[in-house]
Amino acid sequence: MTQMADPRETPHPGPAILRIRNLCTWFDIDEDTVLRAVNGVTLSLSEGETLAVVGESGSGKSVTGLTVMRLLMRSPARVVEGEVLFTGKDGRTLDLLRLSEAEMRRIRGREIAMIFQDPMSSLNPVFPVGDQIAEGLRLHQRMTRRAAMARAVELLDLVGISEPARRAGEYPHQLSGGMRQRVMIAMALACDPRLLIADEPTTALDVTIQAQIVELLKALQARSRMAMIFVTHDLNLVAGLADRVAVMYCGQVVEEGPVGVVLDTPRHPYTRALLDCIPEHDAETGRAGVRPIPGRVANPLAPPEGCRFHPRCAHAEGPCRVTEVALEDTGGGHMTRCLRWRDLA
Amino acid sequence: MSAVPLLEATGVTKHFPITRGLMARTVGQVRAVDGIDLRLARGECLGVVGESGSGKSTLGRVLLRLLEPTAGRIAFDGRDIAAMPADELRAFRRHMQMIFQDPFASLNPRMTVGAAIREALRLHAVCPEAELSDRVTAMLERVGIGGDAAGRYPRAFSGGQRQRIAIARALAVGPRFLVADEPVSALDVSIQAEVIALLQDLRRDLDLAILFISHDLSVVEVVAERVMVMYLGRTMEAGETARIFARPRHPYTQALVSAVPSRRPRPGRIVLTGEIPSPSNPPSGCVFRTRCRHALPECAAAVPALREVAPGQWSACIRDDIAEAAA
Repeated sequence: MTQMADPRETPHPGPAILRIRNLCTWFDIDEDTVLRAVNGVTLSLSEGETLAVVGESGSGKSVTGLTVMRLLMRSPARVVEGEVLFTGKDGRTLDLLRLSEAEMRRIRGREIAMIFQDPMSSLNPVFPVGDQIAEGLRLHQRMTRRAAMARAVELLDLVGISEPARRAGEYPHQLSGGMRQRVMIAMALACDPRLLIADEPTTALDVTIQAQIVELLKALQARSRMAMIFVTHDLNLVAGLADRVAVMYCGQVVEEGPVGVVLDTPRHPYTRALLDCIPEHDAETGRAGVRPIPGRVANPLAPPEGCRFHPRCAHAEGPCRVTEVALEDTGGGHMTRCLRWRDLA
Repeated sequence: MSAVPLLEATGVTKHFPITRGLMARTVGQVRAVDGIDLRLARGECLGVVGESGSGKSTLGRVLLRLLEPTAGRIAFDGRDIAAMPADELRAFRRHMQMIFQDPFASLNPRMTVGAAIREALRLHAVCPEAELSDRVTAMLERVGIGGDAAGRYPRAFSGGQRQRIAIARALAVGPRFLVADEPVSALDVSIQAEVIALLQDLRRDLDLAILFISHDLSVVEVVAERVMVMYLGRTMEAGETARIFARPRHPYTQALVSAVPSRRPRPGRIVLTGEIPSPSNPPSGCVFRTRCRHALPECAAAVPALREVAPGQWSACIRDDIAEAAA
């Protein structure tokens, strides 16, 4: 059991290693229906920095992560527009969307790794976990079988699995959910990537195990200056984890900024509504209820004109219903996609 | 709490045998629920929290006798349902219903929503055949789905809507007690808030008692007046929700409360090491001692009893010194 320092102390960000510009990933549902899952997303990320991407189901948060990893290039998905500029370990900057599949294979694992919500569906049930970690090392770093296995055991130790040599010989079904997620992290970190994309990695876990995994990711990140995109639906989790947060709604980023600033002084009505419907456990403010957001999540097949959130927003006025709203800087890199943020501040 | 509780369980225990070999020889026991006492008044909501493997879902099922208890007494309205014959129990189930985390798994995909609710109403002979349709429509409207949903199949609805349908079916027969097993855990926060608000309304209007099982402490804090913290089949701490979350006395509750992510992160967060041990081989004495940072050698000696450590707050821990430090 350990005592943790205030997680809000943020490290100084280094140079940007990932710049996503105006990314549009669409899905062709049938001949005349297009689902604009991600529609004009711009984000950037520096070395050692953690960006949380927050949103509800269907907001486009996972699709953004999968597009960076180039896992959504085939029909029905297509990247319609945008650039994903990534600066690799050798200092070269490449647009990932324009690489050949062979070039991209060298990036995946070695430069950018990804972990998912359900480790069971990413682990092969018929191989011991140690072999699965070693496979990546042999492929990307051309290690011998023996060296790769030794490194796999070291990695299991690094992610806090006790008796790593014995565990390396076990199969995924013999491990608990928390341990499987640790194995996934070990596998992701095997080649010392510059960027880790974590898609809801703690959602299926108990709060106690979730806290362990979050602390582990933070500790590993501090060692390696790895950047991290943490996709989650849980705004509360973000506070103790991320440097910056981007809130997504209906395929767009609606608010972005330093995590403390966004959570304390949200400048978009959707972010405020999202915070209001979280049942908050807080001894200081006493018992709180929940306030649901009125209306339904926007249909991404037929998104509303103007501000996507206007049909559910208590503050919407005439222009909100017709004007395409741009992200605007409210100061200090805190961006919002709201026409009325000055009146509502 | 009223004088006669609606539900009173004493020493409820559920052990699952571990069998091996051709003859299914019993080689051990999984002690899923181990001597739980609880009382629930009419219209009251009791939250049950704990990690996966703490036995909270098993407890919910045993209380409805969906699983046979190994030992213990379960009195519902003064009648012992643990000893009730099967045919009587079937009729009695009208008073006790359950909803689950995954409403898709509990709704038959080949049955329209209306047919599913009608089936429950017919089974319990709730109303005459001629009134069935009106009752189904009324119920669907009550949960905010709209009566025209009756003719559609579950696949036409989103997760939040399916949970509303499952609630409509459970409540259509007019139960007085509902076991809600992680009813909002699979839903987005905005949908979760809607379903919580709906359950709160229904509970008030129908004077419904709810056993609300959840691993999410923030949800339980909002819905339940009283809470019970379980670990390896036993109660670690129980009492008034506001009191327990503000000043947890048991080291396990302290760790659980501390692990809940918050918008205002607290310094000095406790991160528990290790994971919940196997219930087939629980530690002796206090079952939590293997992960407890305050454990003493005495903790292994005897199972600590639940004691009232403050008005309306019971804790099963022998370390009075830490309990006092928390107060």
